[in-house]
Amino acid sequence: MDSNITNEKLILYIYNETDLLDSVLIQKEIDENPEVECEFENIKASLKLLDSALTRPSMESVNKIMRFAAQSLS
Amino acid sequence: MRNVEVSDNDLIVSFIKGDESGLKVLIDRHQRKIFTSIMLLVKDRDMAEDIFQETFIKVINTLRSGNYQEEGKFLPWVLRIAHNMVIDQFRRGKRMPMVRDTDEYSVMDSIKLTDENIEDQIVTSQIHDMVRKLVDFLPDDQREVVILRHYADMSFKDIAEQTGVSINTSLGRMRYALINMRKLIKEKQLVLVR
Repeated sequence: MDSNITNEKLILYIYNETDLLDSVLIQKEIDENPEVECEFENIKASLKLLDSALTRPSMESVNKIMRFAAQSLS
Repeated sequence: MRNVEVSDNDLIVSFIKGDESGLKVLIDRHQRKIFTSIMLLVKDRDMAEDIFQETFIKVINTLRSGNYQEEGKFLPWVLRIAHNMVIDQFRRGKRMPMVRDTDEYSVMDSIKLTDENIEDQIVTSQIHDMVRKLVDFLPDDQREVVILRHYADMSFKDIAEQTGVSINTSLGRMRYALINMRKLIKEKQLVLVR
């Protein structure tokens, strides 16, 4: 990638862990450099995919916790 | 009480003062991230359910004893407890089971979007299952960073501290995890879009 913006920096940017100055520079590079933009979109797509793995505990588990909570308050 | 308007900290205060609904909202708000993190670490639904319950029992006991001091960082705190419980479980000699192709997940998994038809729900559930398996295929250090950053909402700085490596190493692991996931999708010719 012909840029100073590494994939690690793009990851930090996506997770809002860059400071204001870095954020402005990174966004500028994304807007102006198609290679950086492509990497940025690839990383975003991979991270979005991870959201598909989200799953819930059973209602039984939640109910047991709430019963324990009620006992702890009484 | 509406989830979007009340901060985690206000809910904690309300629970400590005796309002159970504060805890219920916290569970509703964070259960997917917490449970998924545990599930991805232990790879066994029953064990994940047990650890999820034990984690919240510890959360409740800590809140009730007045020892909670993590204002504004409820989710990472709970995830740290869960993570330690997983490690304890592992130390007690209970082997982490391998994921099998026949693994089944609760019906609750596919009921997240009520306006989906059955076919859509099946596709959603299959995608969701495949992504979990992709994460399982990652090397342990990469999987750990993915879980802690993406599901547990920990910053790379906190992850670096917790895992005893530099921020750059954590970031590098995340980067390789994403590269490996993309490689696996290509190799296995997986279709993960609807």
